[in-house]
Amino acid sequence: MSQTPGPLIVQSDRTLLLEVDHPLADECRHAIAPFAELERAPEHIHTYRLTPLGLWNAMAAGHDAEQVVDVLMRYSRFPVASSLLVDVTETMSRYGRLRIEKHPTQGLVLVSTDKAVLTEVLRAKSVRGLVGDQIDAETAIVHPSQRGTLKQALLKLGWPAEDLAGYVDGEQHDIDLVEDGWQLRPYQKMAAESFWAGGSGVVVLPCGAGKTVVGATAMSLAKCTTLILVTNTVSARQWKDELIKRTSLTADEIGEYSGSRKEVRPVTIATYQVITTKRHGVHPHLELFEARDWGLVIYDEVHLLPAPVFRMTADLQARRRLGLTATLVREDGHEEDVFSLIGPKRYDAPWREIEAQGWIAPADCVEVRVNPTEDERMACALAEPDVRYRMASTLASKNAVVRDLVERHRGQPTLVIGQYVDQLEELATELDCEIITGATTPLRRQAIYQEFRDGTINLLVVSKVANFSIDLPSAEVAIQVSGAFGSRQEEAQRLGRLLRPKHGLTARFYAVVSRDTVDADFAAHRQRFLAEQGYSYRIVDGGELDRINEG
Amino acid sequence: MTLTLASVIRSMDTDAMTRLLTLRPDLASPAPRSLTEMAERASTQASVRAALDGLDSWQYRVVLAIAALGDDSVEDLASHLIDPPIAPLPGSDAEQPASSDDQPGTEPTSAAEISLPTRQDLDDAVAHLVDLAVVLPEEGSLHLVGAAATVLGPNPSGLAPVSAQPLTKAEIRERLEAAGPTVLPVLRRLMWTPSGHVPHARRPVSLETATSPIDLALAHRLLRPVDNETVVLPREVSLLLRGGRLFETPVPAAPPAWPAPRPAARTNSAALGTALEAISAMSALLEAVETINPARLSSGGIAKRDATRALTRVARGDAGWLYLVLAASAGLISADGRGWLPTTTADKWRQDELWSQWLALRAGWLAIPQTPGELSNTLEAPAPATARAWRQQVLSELATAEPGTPVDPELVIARIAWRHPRWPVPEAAPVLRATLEECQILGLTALSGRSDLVDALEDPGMPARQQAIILQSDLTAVAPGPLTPGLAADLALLADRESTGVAGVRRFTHSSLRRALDVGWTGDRVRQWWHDHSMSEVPQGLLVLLDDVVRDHGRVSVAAAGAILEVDDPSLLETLLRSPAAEELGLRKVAPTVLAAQADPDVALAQLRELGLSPVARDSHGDIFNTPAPPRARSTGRAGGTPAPGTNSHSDPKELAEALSSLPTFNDSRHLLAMLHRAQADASWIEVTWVRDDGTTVADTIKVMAVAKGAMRCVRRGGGGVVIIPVPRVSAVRAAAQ
Repeated sequence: MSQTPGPLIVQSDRTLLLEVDHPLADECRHAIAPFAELERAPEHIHTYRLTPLGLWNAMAAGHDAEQVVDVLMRYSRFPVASSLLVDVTETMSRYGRLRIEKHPTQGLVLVSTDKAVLTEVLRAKSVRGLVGDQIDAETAIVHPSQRGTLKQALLKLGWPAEDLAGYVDGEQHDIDLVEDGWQLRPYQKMAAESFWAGGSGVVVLPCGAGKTVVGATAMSLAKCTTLILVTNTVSARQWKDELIKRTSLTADEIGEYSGSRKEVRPVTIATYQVITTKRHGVHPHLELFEARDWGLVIYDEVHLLPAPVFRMTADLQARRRLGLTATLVREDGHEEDVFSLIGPKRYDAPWREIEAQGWIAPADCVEVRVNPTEDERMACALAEPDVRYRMASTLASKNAVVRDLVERHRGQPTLVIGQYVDQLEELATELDCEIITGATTPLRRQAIYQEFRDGTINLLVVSKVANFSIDLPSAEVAIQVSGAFGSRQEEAQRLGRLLRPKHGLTARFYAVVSRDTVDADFAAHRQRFLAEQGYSYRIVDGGELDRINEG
Repeated sequence: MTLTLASVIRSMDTDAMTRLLTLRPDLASPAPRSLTEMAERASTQASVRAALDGLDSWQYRVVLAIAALGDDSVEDLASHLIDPPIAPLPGSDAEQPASSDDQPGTEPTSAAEISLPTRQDLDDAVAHLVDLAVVLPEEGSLHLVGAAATVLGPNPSGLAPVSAQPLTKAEIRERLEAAGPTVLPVLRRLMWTPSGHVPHARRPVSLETATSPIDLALAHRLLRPVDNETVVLPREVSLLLRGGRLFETPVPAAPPAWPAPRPAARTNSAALGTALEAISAMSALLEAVETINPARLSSGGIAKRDATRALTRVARGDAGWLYLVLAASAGLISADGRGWLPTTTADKWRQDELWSQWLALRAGWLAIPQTPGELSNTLEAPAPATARAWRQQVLSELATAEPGTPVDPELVIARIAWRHPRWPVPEAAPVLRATLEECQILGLTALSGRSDLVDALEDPGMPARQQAIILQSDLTAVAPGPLTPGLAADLALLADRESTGVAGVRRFTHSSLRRALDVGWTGDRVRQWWHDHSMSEVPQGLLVLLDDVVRDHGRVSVAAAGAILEVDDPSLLETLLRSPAAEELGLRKVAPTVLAAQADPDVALAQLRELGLSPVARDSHGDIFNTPAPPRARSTGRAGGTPAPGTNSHSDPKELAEALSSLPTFNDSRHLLAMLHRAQADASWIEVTWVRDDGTTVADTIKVMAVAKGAMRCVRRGGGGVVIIPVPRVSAVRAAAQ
């Protein structure tokens, strides 16, 4: 029973602790990646979690319970508890007992080889209205319009159905990749092919790993009219640019369906916002889904997919669907809907691995703690609770530190990010640089961004509100003076996207924080999350900025 | 009959006696004073019943056969039990009524499937019965002791007693033929239970008039009335109908066999993992009980809400309750007036090796008084002995299997039923299933197989305790395995539990570090502890967190004090601190001008006054506190002519006069004002007696500067400053002495 201790510790609360420095760590990581979700990745021990969805994803990818149990027992440092192994086997055996298939005469049917399971789900209240007559003990008719809703309901009951009913081909449209001056990265190719083989599903790639290219590759495989759903207009334009650059598509073939334009072309890029717009209680833009015989629907940033789009997606089950995301973890807990409506995970490249390959750069995070003056401290202490955070995070003491930091990185593309416009305007004046806020017109904004990209200017102050959802240009240094950068999850990701310096350089992320105030409490959350994501995180006193480069 | 139980016992050699006392412990305890007493005890029904309860199905079958056949030889027994004569009667085997009251819990199994007993099995069973002194061997035949016959009932194996005038086989066949086929169903109904209910059983019947099957059977004496309501199937008829068999179904000489074992390594590994999980769950439970301190119900149980809270980090559902009752039965937690708390046993348990910890859990499990499957927060048991017996039974049954053997609950139940034919096993099936589920939680079975842990006495390879932890920059500490007790306790103090299992993930937070500082750790000690026990470098974030907590810790401090002394004069304060009263009052300097005293304010005041100081008392708002006049009873009118004290009683006219002249020298306000004006005009010193704001009366020597609007401005003599005195408050004015 005693062998060389493995790198994995299997906990009874279904977490897996992986010792990163163990010689077998990489091997083990590959072995557990198909069925366990990486939760935290600090420097020594990574935490993975076993969830039913993760196990079902593994089943969908062709792994079986025996393999999972074997991996757990092989790599575990301590014997694995029987209950966990039994539970894994039991959970995995639930996937695929129900299948949605095509029937030669009845259209769609729900088929099960296990009569008891079929009876159980047919009796459930949530399923009763979605399924028609039972043909025999193992088959029941499913109305095609209920295909998605049924899958959702079955997953909730703990009996996820395998969708084998196939897809409509959609309207043919020639799309080819044009590898002109660039090359498809191996993992991008693998991701697109895994998706194509699986039919529908989600590709998980970290920010900056080129998800758009994966989408383009999937389109070149499908060669049909495609509907692309993205988070916002800027993102839509980026998609369009990328598609023109990477594929044989011309600008005429790509339409934008957004608040400002309503073009329906063979490839149409729509924003979540326009689709979810409601007028007089109805979604007027739903017709987009019916406007053409789409052969492929691509969902960008699946983890942000709004609930109404889920409902619409339930009706699109006959079309191929590709979800692109950096994380399967949704802050709203709708992971299940992604699984049942878009599909299981088809490809997952661990962030750190791609990082190690040099495609995305690691960032170095430094929290700079500013000591407020006595007066400022007293002011913060006396402030009303609702303005306390604002007061704490916009203290004048911060400005000197920000100036100092900017000075230290003079010459490097630097962004100063904040939540409160007053503070930012003050800083912009002090630093004598451009500022982008919500009030800046899109045209002006594009122009400033372009200058920043060109290197004409290398210092920019941007407000969080204006740029929350917009792709910031890459920078080497970011200094956050106030506010959280979206949700914790997003913050870590955007950081990866924001800081994309040239190869070989390490980006720097500063968070300037007022010591001993609510601002510092928020910083504690950030520290935890960034550390969990594997970023290095240091805390430096505002008065000791000379020690900033001490690792 | 010459052989009696007493004579047999008396003639036993030591070996036989030892066997008897081992097999029937009730005979040995309390120790009998003589062989006669022991023989008497052995022949009581209670003792014999206990002995019969211990028989397995095959032994019980043999004793029933002996009871049914009467004094018979082993050969006779064998002819009935081992090679039963089959089916001499055409048609009688066609349909058999399903009734076999003598065989509770024995699943009817077809003869083909089970291995039929051999002569050796029979000899072994008989030898066992003889050892038990339930059957006495006597000149080649076997004799059942009387008490046993009583316990086994009047119709063992469903046979009526030997008839007074038994029919021969030929006679029976003849009569059966004569009665015709209609009587057969009636007779077959009674074949395995000799008697049946029939109205007017003693009805007059004759061969000529009988038409109904019962009438026919009665007329042919194939049935006999016992009383007016009951008929009995005569023994010889029954035996013939049965084809000579004593029992409806055969009973194997061994319990249903275990299936072939699977390789045990996997089962054992999973079991060990489960055992480790059980240990860590129990540790987590003890930690939770210590912090939550669950309330004790008046019935002795544990408050459900507290229990559920304590179990949130331990286990879900039934497993949680198992850990809870296990903790109680193993003596790891106990309740007193303060609620449920870990015991000193728990402290020792925590210090133990992992293997000993698990052994303690296994022992505790066997002692759980609650019925399996009915565990809850009510830590009482309706039938403790039964619950323990079932658990013990399941454990010993599992011990009979090879490690790695697949454990099917139904098979375990069937085996127990075979082992204890007289126990209510079918009724207890749900309890046994629940017991087997408990076995899974503890690791006695794993992956539905029997593990080594069922009877392991040696450590099967529990991991060694770790001496170090891994600190990470997300402020967590990972214990990469079970920790040494001291380390685990320190870590539990310093960080909050985040993940349970063999290893532990704990998070350092403001509050967890503060908790450590609260119990006396210093920042340096925490830092040193990290340094000593971390496998990796201590992350900077953690050190910063510690600095933050240390800096904040004690920024506000709270101490208890009986009284606060404000002393404006620093030198007086120092004097007080050095005076003997300082110790008595428990004085402590809390600020340059503030002392805190442990004594109550009145004691402090009294002490300070004794020191010659004149302290004032202040109330909780800081206002001066005026001691009300001490309570007094109202005085009553005095008897006699003695004047009340305070009234003028000067006998000497001169004295009287002087006294009178010291009284207020005016009698109306105009007079007073006139005097004041005069004094002002003269600029002379006068002595005024007046009442201050706080109600006290004072006398001041003053010079009036101005009188206006009902008040006068005056200067006190001796540099006393200017004072404004309301005129109506002035009670007396006289010229001041020069």
